[in-house]
Amino acid sequence: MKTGRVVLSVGALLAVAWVILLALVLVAELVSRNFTGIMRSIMGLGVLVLFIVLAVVLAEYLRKSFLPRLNS
Amino acid sequence: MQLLPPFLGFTVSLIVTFLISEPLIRLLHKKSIVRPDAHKPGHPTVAHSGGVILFISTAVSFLLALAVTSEVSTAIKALVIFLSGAICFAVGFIDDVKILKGEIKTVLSVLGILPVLAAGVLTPNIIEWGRPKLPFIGRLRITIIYWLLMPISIAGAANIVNMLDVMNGVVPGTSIVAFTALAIASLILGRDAAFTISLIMLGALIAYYKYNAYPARVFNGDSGSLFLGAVIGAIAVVEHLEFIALTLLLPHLLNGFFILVSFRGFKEHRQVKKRPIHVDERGVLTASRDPDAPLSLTRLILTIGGPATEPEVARVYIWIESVAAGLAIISAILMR
Repeated sequence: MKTGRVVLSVGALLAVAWVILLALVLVAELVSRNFTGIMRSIMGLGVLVLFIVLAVVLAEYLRKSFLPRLNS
Repeated sequence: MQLLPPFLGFTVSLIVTFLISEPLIRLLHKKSIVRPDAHKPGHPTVAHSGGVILFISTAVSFLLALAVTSEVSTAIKALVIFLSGAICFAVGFIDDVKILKGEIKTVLSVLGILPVLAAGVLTPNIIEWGRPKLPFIGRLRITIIYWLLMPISIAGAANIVNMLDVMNGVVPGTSIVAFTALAIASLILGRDAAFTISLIMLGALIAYYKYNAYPARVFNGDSGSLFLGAVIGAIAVVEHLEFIALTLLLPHLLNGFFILVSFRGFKEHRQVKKRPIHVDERGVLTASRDPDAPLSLTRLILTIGGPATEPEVARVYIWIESVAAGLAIISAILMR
């Protein structure tokens, strides 16, 4: 097993996920700041749902296209 | 910050775990609470439900630490965190003894939030719901989303830790790193209850690790993994360390997310036909080449790193958790 290669690759994936998480929270807060009351929460929720949809698409791409290419 | 309760808790949980592990493993064998080890040649049976060891030793240490704590708010917070963990431990233990359906187990683990909700009503000045603290922003203002996510905060953490319990030593190994980082973050941010509970968990886990590391003499069982995950989730909610815990659980979150997306929902491993990894007769693990096979973090690790033995994969998981721990400590510094 190439331990260094795995830790670097997955570690980089984690670092990217951490930055995205931070960015998501910042964007949700910035977007919702322009609204008040229930609209603030709806907009924040919208950003969260958008992020989840994007993450699902990325995970499916990783499974169906990227991993088989890495395997071959 | 009081130092006697956390350090007393650490020492006692370490010693109690050393003392009770062997007799409890023998008792589990005697009661036929055993499971076959699927990743080893010949599939030998191993004692199951090691969470009992972790729960007993941390409960004893927690009670002692509570007895010497003079801060009422710290004691209440620590009690709420431990009770949330205890509820998820009970759910896991029932599953270890009588196998529950995946969905039922997940729904039952939501009950772990009850102590937080009750304490929020009874002592609102000590347990404050909502408004997590984040780097750069400070207290978040999107409270309704937080309340929507709150019921699954503890269950979510418990279940994603459970999903990573795939090989010998992975859960206690990664949890040692996670609780060390939580203790450091608590010190940086001055969270007494989180510091005390983290050290208690750490003491038990250090002593327990050798029993679950390859070749395991006891499996954690759902009682162990749900308990550990629930404690992390409860620390996050009670002590407002949500972002730190989320960062620490990123490897678990990625693995859980991959599994949920590719399995199309919660499924018990018994229900899964196509496996993400294969084990040969020598115990060497390889990633599945089938594009329709489910995705998991282990499959990703084996695809990138090539075939490996179980201890090698477990070691990689601990390294990966160390990266998450580094990011969590950076987050704590940014939150100061």
